Amino acid sequence: MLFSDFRKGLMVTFKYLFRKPVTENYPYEKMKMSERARWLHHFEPNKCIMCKMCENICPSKCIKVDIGKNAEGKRELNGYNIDIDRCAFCGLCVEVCPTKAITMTSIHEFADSDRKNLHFNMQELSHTGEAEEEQKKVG
Amino acid sequence: MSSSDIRTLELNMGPQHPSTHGVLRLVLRLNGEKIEHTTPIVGYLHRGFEKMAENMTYQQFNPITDRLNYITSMNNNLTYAMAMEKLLGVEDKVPERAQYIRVIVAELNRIGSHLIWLGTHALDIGAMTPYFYCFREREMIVDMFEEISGARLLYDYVRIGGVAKDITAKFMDMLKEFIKIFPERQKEYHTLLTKNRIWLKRTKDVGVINAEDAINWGISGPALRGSGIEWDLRKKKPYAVYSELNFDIPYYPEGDVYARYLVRMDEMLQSIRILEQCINKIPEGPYMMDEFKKVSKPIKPPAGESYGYAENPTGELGFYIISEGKNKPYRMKIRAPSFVHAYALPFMIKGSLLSDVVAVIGSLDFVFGESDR
Repeated sequence: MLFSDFRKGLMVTFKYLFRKPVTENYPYEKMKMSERARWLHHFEPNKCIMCKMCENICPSKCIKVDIGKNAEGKRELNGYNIDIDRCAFCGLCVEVCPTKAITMTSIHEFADSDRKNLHFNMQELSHTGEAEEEQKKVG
Repeated sequence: MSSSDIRTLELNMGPQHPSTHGVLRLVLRLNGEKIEHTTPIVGYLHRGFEKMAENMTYQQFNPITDRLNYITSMNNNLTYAMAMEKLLGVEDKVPERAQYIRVIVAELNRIGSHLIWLGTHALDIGAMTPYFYCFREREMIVDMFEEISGARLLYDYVRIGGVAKDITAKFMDMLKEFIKIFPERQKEYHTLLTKNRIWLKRTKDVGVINAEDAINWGISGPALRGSGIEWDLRKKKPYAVYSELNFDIPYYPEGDVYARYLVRMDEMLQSIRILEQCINKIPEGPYMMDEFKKVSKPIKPPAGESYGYAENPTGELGFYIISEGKNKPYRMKIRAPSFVHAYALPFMIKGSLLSDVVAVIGSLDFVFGESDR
């Protein structure tokens, strides 16, 4: 009696012996990301109008916009920092941005053993677009 | 040795036990191998969401609702959005296309949640194979969600007043493909489990709770329907566009682990039925109300209160929101089905064997992100 149950189950398993694997060979074959992928941010300093909307909407308060004054007394963007360690990747900062200065790329391989390396500054964030292009070429 | 010489044994199970599905801790008092008394201890995953809500704007809280029951993010978003729409009095103004998209993603997420439940439940009891098959099908659903929302787990897709982005043609193709494949694949799970002798021995007449006790303990969702009560909020108190769709409520009177298993298996096919109708019925039009399109625009609902509810894969999820007319809520109470089920667990496992505890825990489908909030 019990044998018939084993046979039924093993028949299913046996069928799968001749099928192709459904898994992806991940580190060697890169995943195809969606067009709307929400991963590491890309920031364009010259587009930013310093409205601080992204800083205000962020639910995890991980964006810091540093605004100072230049020699002529005009407002100037000194720095733009994102603490990716705290980021929830909800994409609200991208949605509120009136000039599309901040966007999200499909770069997702930035795991690190040191938390300090997950604080991205303006310099690093403005080059993520190029890194994404490179990633697409490889993939 | 007389029976009075047998001493009871206190046994601690969890919070790191692989079969307690997260961080449930049970203190069991055993008499031999029979359970005499159980104390469930929850709160290991407490993140203070209800308090966080009081310090956040209504839009900012939307991604936080994803993290309640992280397997059913779409359903959580939907429940929150409905509670907010009720508070704002715009329930009827949500575009019809948005309502259909909401039903599609909610039902897909229901199948996805039930697949995870089936895989882990079977794994707990000792059947390892269904786990891999379930995750293969779930991958298709996750890919679909990635296509429309950009994320694979925490979607933040259903918003107040509609959905975040319109669905794409590629998504519809993937959906049609999934509907075609899934019923065939589900037959495989039935072959592996439903009539299997070991499965029946482990699940039949285990963790029995009758209809009256189930109501008294506040159990909802598939666990309630497994006790023979035909209660589904989608049918009894229709929201979104469920009133226009045809589907049945599967229910079984036995009230044991096996009945709850059958309810969820049937529910997956009912969800496929709903999805088929949605594909044919979905109208063209806007996917979001214009006044909520801009996330930066603060939402200030009038002073008052509202309760939004929905039939989640685990049970009835509710958001009770009190507004003072500001852009932040005065108080938000979340009614989590997992929390209620966790407290009904001691009643269900009283007098049963220790090895049955994992079977009952699996059948109730806890997720402690939701229970501990």
